[in-house]
Amino acid sequence: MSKVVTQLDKEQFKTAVIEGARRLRKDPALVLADADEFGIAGLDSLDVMNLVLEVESALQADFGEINIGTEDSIESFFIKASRTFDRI
Amino acid sequence: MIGVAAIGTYLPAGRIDNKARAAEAGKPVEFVTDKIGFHSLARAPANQSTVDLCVGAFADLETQGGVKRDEVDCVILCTQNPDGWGLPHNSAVLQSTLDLPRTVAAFDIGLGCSGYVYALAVARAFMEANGLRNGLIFTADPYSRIIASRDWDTDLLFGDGASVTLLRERAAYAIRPGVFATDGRLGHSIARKNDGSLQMLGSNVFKFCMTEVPRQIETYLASRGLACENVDLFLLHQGSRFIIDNLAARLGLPPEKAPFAAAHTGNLVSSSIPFLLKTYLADGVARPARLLLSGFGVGLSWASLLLESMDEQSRDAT
Repeated sequence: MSKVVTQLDKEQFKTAVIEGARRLRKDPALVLADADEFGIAGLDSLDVMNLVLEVESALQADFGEINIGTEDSIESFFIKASRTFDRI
Repeated sequence: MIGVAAIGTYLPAGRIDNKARAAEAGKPVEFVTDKIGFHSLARAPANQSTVDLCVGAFADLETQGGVKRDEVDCVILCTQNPDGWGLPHNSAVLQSTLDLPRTVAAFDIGLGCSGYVYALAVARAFMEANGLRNGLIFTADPYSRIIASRDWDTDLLFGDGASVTLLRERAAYAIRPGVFATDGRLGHSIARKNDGSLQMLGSNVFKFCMTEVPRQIETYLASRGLACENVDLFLLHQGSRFIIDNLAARLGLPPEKAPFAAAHTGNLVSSSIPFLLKTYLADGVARPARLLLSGFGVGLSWASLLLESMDEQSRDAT
């Protein structure tokens, strides 16, 4: 059985988001700063749903019910995802 | 063995042009056409009832021949938007409207996008257990009644339509035992709000579709000694092109094995799978030997089963 994380490391999280966004955009050079909105980076609302699954898969995490939109960023996504673990 | 013999369908004449609404929804046209995939949505007028839609589907079935009203002995209607709040049950209204025999067993099933798969399994078991020979499964769920105008989480997605599936012995496809699942804890992900309008939490629904549904399909196939490559075609609920494309990718399927064919109808809820299945029942069309049907949505609820061509004499009856 795979290990499921119960807390988030911010650097790992950031790496997972950026790599996920690069896969979804098919752009290995995509740059995403902590405060950059996903929409500005070219992700639409459906891409962002996929991004959440990409990050969950990369980190072996389950964020449960989480609502991430194009207006979110690595920073705000991290805050929302961390709240998931606060509830554990 | 009771199986699927023929399917009739009905779409109302009205269409909503989603491309023309893209700007108002704050979306690029390509997002609507290439990602959501619904160029236009079939729309029933306000005075066209759920039963009216079903009657339209039955008329199409009659044009194909093979159904005799006086021989129908089972009517099942799958809907969550019945006329008259479902009292009387709309299958009884259909019995009367279509002038079917009083010996008909008639009942409604209250399920959404998983409903057709459930209804096939229920109908087969019910008919075989009670010696019934000619059954009709209707699906009709006019979501336009409950969608809040310009709620862009739902208003670009759903179309109105109806289907009727004729079930009988010596049919085109045998219905194999299926698998069924429910997670009511996430029921609020697709539900009606206090004002009666539909609410959909897209991120919850997408996550559910991308995790539970492929897991169920792969487990189900494995339980029958099969893998995805042993299935000729996957007829998945046409929730959107985005859902179909991503499900196909997660199952490792080439796009042609998981068709998306709802670009000009919209998501027809429990009717989406029979609309697709009808294509492969038409005369002159090469009939795939083994089809996997998977419906998923409201509940949350998901269900999968196999249809196998009765032409394939080498396959064992189940």
